Amino acid sequence: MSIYSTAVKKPITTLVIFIAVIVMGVFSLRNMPIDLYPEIDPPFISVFTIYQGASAADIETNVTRPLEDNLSIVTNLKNMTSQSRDDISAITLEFDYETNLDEATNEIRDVISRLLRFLPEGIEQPTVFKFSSSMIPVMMLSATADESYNALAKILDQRLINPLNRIEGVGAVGIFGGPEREIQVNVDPRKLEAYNLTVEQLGGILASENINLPSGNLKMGTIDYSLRFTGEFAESDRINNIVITNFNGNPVFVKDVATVKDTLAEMTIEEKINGENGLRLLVQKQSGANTVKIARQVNEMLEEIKPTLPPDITIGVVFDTSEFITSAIGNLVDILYYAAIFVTLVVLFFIGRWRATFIIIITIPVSLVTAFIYLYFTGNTLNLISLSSLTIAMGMVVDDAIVVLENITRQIERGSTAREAAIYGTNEVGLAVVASTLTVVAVFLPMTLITGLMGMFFRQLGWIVSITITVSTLAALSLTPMLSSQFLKYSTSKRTGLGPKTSAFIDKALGGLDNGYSRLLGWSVRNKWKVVFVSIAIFIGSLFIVPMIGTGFFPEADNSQIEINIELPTGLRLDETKKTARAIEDIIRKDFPEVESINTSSGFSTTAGIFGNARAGSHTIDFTLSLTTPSERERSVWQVADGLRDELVVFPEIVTFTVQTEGGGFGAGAPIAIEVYGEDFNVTTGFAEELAAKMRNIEGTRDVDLSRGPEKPELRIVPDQEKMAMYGLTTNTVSNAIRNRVQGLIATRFREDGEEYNVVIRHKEEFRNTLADIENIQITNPRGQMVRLKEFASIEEFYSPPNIERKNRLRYLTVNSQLFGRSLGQVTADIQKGIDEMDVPQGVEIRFGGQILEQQEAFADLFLLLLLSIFLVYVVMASQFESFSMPLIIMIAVPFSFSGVFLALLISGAELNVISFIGAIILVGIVVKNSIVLIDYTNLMVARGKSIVTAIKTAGRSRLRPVLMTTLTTLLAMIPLAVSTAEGSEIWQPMGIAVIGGLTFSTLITLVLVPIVYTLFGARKVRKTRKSNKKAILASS
Amino acid sequence: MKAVFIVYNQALTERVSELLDKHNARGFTQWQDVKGRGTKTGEPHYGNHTWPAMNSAVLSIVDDDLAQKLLVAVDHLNKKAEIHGLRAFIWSIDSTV
Repeated sequence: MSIYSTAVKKPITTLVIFIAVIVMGVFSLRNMPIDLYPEIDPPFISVFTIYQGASAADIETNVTRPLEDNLSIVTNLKNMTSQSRDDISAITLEFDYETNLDEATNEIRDVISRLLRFLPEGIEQPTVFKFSSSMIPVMMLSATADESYNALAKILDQRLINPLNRIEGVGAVGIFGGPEREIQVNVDPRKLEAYNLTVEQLGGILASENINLPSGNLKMGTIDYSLRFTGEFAESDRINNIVITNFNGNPVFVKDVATVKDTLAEMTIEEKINGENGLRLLVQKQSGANTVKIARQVNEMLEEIKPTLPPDITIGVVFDTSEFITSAIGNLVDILYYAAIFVTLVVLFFIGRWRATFIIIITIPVSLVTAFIYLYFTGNTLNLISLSSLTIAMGMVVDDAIVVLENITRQIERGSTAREAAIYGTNEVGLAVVASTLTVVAVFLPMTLITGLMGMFFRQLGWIVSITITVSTLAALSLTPMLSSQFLKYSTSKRTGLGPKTSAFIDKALGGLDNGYSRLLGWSVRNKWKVVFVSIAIFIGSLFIVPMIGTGFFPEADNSQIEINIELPTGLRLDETKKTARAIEDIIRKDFPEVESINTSSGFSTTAGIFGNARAGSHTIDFTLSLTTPSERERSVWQVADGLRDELVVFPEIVTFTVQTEGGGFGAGAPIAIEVYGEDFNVTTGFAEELAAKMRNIEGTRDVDLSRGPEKPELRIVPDQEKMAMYGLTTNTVSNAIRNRVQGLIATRFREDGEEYNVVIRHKEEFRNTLADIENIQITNPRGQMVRLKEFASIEEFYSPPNIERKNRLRYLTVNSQLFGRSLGQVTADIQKGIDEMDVPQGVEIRFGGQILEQQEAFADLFLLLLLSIFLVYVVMASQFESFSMPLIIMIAVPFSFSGVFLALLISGAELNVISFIGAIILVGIVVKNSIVLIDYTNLMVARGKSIVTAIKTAGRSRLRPVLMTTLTTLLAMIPLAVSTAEGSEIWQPMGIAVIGGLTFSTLITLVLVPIVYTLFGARKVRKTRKSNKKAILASS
Repeated sequence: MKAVFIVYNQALTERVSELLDKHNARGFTQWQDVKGRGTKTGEPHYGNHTWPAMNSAVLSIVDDDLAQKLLVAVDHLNKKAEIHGLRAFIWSIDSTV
């Protein structure tokens, strides 16, 4: 018994099965987390090695190189980049996306442990660090305060960070820029010298004073007391009165040689939130945790905590990545609803009956919820890709039901009962429905096979469309006949009322269209060569517009965030840097009303450690700007960014700056990164400078900059080894002594309320400000003599060499640029032209990196996918028609769909990027479906004995409506996707534009061209068989 | 006794059974999925891609007067759904056991 007769005969079973599916789907949907993209863990592992005191060049030769040479054997390694800077070697290994990173990590550890004994002695054990998406902060909070500012970090740590950390899924909450309490003992070196004391001795005394010691037990009577000596400073003031020595019989107190201050540590970074003092809090999630859920819980927690904080502390949200996600997902859900409404209207328009429309439309929820079931059970999220997939599927899932219902209606009109019409009507078209579904699956299923980043991305699309389409076919073969058998009835009586009248009118209009199309086909048959030549001309013509279309990697979305990194002259003091920061803040506040909050960090954070920007220093400023939502402002985030660039250019003190918009948080750093390889620093830097100058003149480039920073000025103390030896001093003692006097010596820790604060001894600021101060530093040698630094060392000014970057074991640097107003492809072509004009020095090699490389790789993958899809569609059709040539005739629609894509992209000004490329691939499945309907019916007519011309005309007249209907459902489902301007729309828009353009254009062309080509080639076989049949008949008679 | 042989488009199965029941023609033999085409106008019913429809056939041995009644009823049904295809043939039965 077939599926449809069972379904019709057991309506209740059928109904409850589908209800069960819907319930499962709704259940899955309710429990499904929301995210922006499918989870993609970046396949990067880093190895950090610290070698204190080594210069960048030493690090490169002794640490980075040997590590690189040995790590290059790790399996699945794709790229290896490294950065050697003073004290630190950082190697980043990039793997293929499918790599098991745990195995890779183990392999890396093995390599390191093998190599460790060949590395320099002084290095610290290398740290292997696996990047994960959880590194990306979910939220950035700001805290500002007036009176409580000094204690802000501590208050927040106790009252805010601890509760936040308890939220499930919150990985780490980092705090940046808060002041820290420090007890400073600022020594007057002259007084210290007068008493024959050193900083180190002073430190030793303080350390030995600040002690609590258990001193045994005392048994008295019945009780056993424990004895405890308490010498710890109860308050910081006590340090003043510690006796450090006796001089001429009088005690010398700390206050005699130094000033003790209980104050805040000198800060290397200054944080301002909207111009007020404050600090930033970064909330990171644990790997696999859901951003939206965490952000919601953090916000709830904040509301609870805020009232308990001191009244002058204000907590703000600098950015909340979940806002963009929820808003973009919400907008896409709206689009899905619009698509559903459009599809319903199209079906109603063509079918003209409510009941029939209902039967068709019910397949939408039934098949789409299976996508949720799939997503839920594979642990995926509801994201932009899965939702756009649903929009694509929306227009296609009704197609099968339409075909089935149409045939059932015809059976009923011929006089069958609804039950039998349902069974036999479905039987007649069942095979055709399955075949057309197979062609669609042939396009979408290969998407689940692509590898790399594109695979991570479009796998869901492939699965979702394949699953929903398959389920829709099942529904069309069971639910649709069952419902038809229950609800449809044939009435001969004339229907009256507004509804039927309009439907009669529409019917008449469509009838006119059918006839018109039939006449057009008649004319085309008479002028077939004209039609063919015009079509070929159109296709070739469309190829000429390809160079005019911009190409890009991934669409960037307006997520209302701008990052500005500014570098002032290297070595500039923080106080000077702050002045510039304030001036820029004023301009932003005055001229950019779109900016909602300004977060300024001047200087660099010492807590950032090895992850910090190598070029950060007291001379750098980082701004994080939050803009109002796109609907509330006229300028886009890119226009605002470009406006900011115009303002920043006029500051004479700014050396370089970048203004970045981080659309969707997805991409490979700077859009344009030209890699310049070469061993010689001067040659490569020189060439890169020249290239950068050229790039600055190319339209569309912004913030062109070299990755290799300028040389840093530094003062070097160069000892005379002989003299040093004469005084009995060693490098170790001298360098430590200088460090203790200038940077400070942490003598001991002051404990209060369970917290510890550093007690730092160093020279008073006025004694460490000039070169002379340094030269006059006194150092005690083992013989107890005081020696001044200038006696055995000189201070020289040096420029420290830049950081050394390497990629795949070659020295390189990149010339980076942002984009504005022009596409990646166009700018890249201009840069290539520029490079061609330049004289590339010997030993220098140039490669494109960044998004250009990503784009090339992605396009190569997608192109392969396109070929695979076309081949599979051919295979499905060849078996369906049992013919080699018929599929080719049908696939004539494909090139014209590409013409349509090019045209639509040109008109709308959209880019050809991975999203629109996927749109073009999807088209293969959709446009072929149209021609199949047309050709299949023509074949039928020919087989039923009609002449070829009559056959195409009859087929045209009869199949125009189904073709238009299925095309229009798909088309209208995509229109909301293409025209939406809501937040996040930039990401899915290209796909809508590509599909609409391609589908419209190819439908128009194929409605005429495919039947004509059929008369030219496809009919030959028919004629041949007919002739041979005739001969056989004549021979036998 | 007459043999009534009704060949019909499968889509009419229920109506034909109904028709037999209504006239109290209890005994019958039915063939499902048979192929055929009309002599003059009837479209082929082959159950293939070109001609997807299929026929069924019923043979019922009835009394003479019932045979005539059945024929009228079949003609009536045929007029209602002419495009489907429905034919009845009657011939005499010599003897039965």
